[in-house]
Amino acid sequence: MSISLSINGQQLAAEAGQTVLLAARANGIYIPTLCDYPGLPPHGSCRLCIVQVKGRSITPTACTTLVEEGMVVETDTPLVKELRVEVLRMLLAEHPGTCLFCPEHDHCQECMVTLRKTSVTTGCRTCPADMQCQLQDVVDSIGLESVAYPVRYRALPVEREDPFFDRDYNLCVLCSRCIRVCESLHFNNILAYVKRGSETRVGTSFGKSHIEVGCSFCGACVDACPTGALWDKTSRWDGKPDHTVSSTCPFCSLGCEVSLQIKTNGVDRIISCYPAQVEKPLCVKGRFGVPELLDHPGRLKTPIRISQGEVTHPGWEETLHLASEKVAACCPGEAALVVSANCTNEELFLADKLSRSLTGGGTILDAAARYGDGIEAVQRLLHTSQSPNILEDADLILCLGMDLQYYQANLEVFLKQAMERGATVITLNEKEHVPGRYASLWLQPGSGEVETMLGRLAGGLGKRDVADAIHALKASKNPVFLVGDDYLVRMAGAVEKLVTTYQASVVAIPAEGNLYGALRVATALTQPATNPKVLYLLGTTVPKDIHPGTFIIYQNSHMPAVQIQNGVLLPMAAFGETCGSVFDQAGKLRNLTAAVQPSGEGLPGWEIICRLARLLAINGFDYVSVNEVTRDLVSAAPSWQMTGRVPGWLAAPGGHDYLGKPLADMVAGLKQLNLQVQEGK
Amino acid sequence: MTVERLIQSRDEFWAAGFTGDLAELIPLLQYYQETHGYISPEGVEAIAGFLGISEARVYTVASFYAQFRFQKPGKNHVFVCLGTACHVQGGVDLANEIHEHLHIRNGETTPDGQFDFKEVACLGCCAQAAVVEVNGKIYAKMNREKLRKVLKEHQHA
Ligand code: SF4
Ligand code: SF4
Ligand code: SF4
Ligand code: FES
Ligand code: FES
Repeated sequence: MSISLSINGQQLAAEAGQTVLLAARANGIYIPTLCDYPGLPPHGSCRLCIVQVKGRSITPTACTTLVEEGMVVETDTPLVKELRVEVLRMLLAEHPGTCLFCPEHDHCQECMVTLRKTSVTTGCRTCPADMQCQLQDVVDSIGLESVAYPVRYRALPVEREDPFFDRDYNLCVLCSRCIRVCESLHFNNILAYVKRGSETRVGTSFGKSHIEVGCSFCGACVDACPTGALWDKTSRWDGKPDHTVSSTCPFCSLGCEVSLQIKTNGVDRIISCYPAQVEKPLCVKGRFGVPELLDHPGRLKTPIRISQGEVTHPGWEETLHLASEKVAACCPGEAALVVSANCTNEELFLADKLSRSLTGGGTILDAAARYGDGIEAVQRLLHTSQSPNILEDADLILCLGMDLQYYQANLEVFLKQAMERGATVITLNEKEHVPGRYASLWLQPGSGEVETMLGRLAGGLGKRDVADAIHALKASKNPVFLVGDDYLVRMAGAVEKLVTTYQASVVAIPAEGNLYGALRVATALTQPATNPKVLYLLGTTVPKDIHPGTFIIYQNSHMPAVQIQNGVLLPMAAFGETCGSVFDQAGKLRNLTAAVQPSGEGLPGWEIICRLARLLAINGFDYVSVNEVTRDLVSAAPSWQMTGRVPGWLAAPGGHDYLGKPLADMVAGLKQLNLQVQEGK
Repeated sequence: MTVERLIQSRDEFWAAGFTGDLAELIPLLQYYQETHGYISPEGVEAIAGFLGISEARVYTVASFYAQFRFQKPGKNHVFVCLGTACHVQGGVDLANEIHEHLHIRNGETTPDGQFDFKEVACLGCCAQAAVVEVNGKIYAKMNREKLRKVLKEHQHA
C-alpha cells in the first residue's frame, strides 16, 4: 500500500511500514544518523535523526517512526537543529575531538603537525578512521564547530592482543551497531554492553580476548562501527579509498562475493577486502587475508633464472626463451605440468591445452595427492553439490567433518536459522568444533572410528546417539548433508555411500578455491611422467623428492619455499591483480576482477602460458584478452574423467593453501588462530 | 571450559532446581554468588552454557547490577560510607586512604586476599559520620589516621 506524506514541503509516496528515515533517504533527503545500519532493526539510541512531525509535541526519531498517511515532517527546523546540536555536543563530551575541530585538520595529512609519540588515540593523526569516520560526516553535516562540554577521556587501554583488528573503546559512541551485527547477522553475541551509567562500554565477558570467547573474526562488527573504535590492523589511517571493485574470494570453494577497496599512491597500494553486501559477512580468510597475502615480502617480483644454484635476473624475454628451449628439448613424456586447485579456470584450461600438445597427456593436479584414492568420490560429490542456500529449506542438516569456528564461519548463520525454525542439526566430528556444543545432536566417534560410524549410519544399525540419528534421518523429508573439507579428504567414499542411502542433497565444501574448476576444466588428473626432465609448476609447491637435475619452471605469485637448483621463476599476478574466473562448490562460474597492477614485473598467469606456448610455436595461444579464454573454456565440453595415477614425487598441498603455500604462513593472524584450534581443543 | 566441566555445572544447577529457562538468569547469578562467593569468569561460562546463550549476554546483565561482585571476597570486608552526611565529614578522604593505602578501588580485593572494599551510600548512622564498617562492626567519626590504625589491626588479626 502506498502512503503519501510530505517531508520538508516535498510531497512523497512511501510504503506502509516504512520508516520516515527510509522514506526520506529514498527521496534523497539527508537526515544524520549514527546508530542506524542496513540489515538491522531500528534502534533509536543516538537521537541524531530527530525530526518534527506536525501535530506531535515531541521530536520523534525518524528511524523508529513509521510513515502515516498525510504526515507532515520537517527535518531541518530551527528547533530540530538546535536539539540535534545539543545531542551531538553531549555525545562529543565523551569523544576525542581533535580530528573534528582542529583548524589544521586539512593540512594535517601533509604536515603531520600533531604527530605524537604516544600510541593513545586522542586526535586526527592517530585515529585509524580519520577521513572515513561517520562521526566526522555527521559533525560536518550538522555544522558543529567546537565542543561545548569538558571532554571526559575514558583512558581505556587499547585492545591490540587479538589478531586482525584493534579495539579502542575510547572512540566508541555506544551506538551498539557492533553488538547488534554480531548478534543478528552472525548469531554470535561476542560483544555486549558492560557495566552501566557513565561507566557503560562495549566489551566481552570480563574483558576477555576475542580469541578466548570464541569470536570467529568475521569482521562484521568492524564493518559496522561508524567510528575508529574497531579497525583493521592492516588499514589504519588509510583514508577514503579511490575506488571499489567487486570480485570473488579465492580462499575456498564457497567463492563469496567480495568488494575490494583500492587506494593507490604512487607505488604504494592499499587493498582491503569487504563483503559485497554488509548483510552477508565473509569469513576471516576472505575478510582479513588479502592485504597481507598481496603485500607479503615473499612476493616474486621479477623473472629469475637459476642455474646450478646461481641466481640471475635476465628479464622476461630471455627467461621465457630459456624455459621454451628446455621444454622443446624434451621428448614426449619427459615434461610434466603440475597445476593447483587455486588456479583460475583460464590458467587451468591453457595449462591443460599446453600439456596436451607437449606431452599428449593432461596436467597433473596437485590436489590429487591430497585426496588420494578418494578423488573419484570427491568428484562425484562435487558434481551433485549444491549451493548452501538450499540449507534454508532443509528439515535436517547433517554436518560431516565441518568446523565453522573460523573458516567458513559465515555458514553458521544457516545452522542457527535452521535450529530456530525447528529443523534438526546433527553434527559428526571426533573433535571439538562448531556447531558441536549447540547442535541438536553431536555424534562423537573415537579417533579412527569415523568411517565405522558413517558405515553404521548408512547401514541403519546403531546404538544410542547413532540410533537417534538414524531415526531422524529416516524421518526427514528433506535432509541436506553439509560436507566439510576434512571428511572429503579422509573419507569421501563413506560419505558418498551415506548420501546415497538417505538420498540427501549435498553441499560439499572443499577448501581449495577452484577444485571444481580444476576437475572440470583440466580433463586429466595425472599422467604417467615418472621422472620428468622438465617440471612446469603452475601455482604449486616444489616437490621434495624431485631429482636435483630436473629443470623447474616455477610460475607463482610468491617465492618457492625450497631452493631450486636449476630452473626459472616466473612472477605471476595474484588474486586482485588479474581477471579470470573460478567455479564455486556448486559449479557456478564466478568472476575474479583485476583491481590493481601485478606486483613488480608480474604478469597474469594466462598470459605467461600463452607467451611460452607461442615461443614453442604451438597453435591456438593467440589470445589477446582473458575473456576469450573464458569463452573457449566454457564452451569446451567438461569431461570429468581421469587417467593415470598420482606420481610418487607429487607433494600433497594443504587445504588452506594459496598457490601451494599455507595461507597461515603468509597471514600472521591465521597462524595465531590455527594455534588456538590446536591447543584450545 | 571443557565439555566435562560444563556438564558438571549443569548437573549442579539442575540439582538446585533450575530448569535452563532464560528467565532464570538473575536467580542463577544470585545462586552462583551465594555458593561461590562471587561471580567468576568460570561462573559466567557455566551459566552461559547452561542457558545456551553467550558469555557476553550473561556478563552484560551481571555487570549491570550492583549486587554482583566479580572478585573473590577478601578476609576482611571494608565499607566506606559516601552518603551525604559522611561525604560532608570527609568520606571521600577515607575512600582515598583505601586507594592509596591498599591500592584497590571500589569493588576490588587486595592481591593478598586480606581486604575487599566497597563504597556504600549511607550505613544508617549518619550522626556518627564519617563512618566505616569493617566485618560488620561500625567505626565512628573516622579520619585517615584512625582508619589506617583499624586496617592495621585487622591485617594482623
Ligand atoms: S568479528 Fe564477527 S564474530 Fe567476532 S565479534 Fe565481530 S561480528 Fe562477532
Ligand atoms: S564499538 Fe563502534 S559499533 Fe560498537 S558501539 Fe562503539 S561506536 Fe558503535
Ligand atoms: S567462506 Fe570461503 S569464499 Fe567465503 S570468505 Fe571465507 S574463504 Fe572466502
Ligand atoms: S539513527 Fe535514529 S536514533 Fe540513531
Ligand atoms: S551518610 Fe554515612 S551513615 Fe548515613
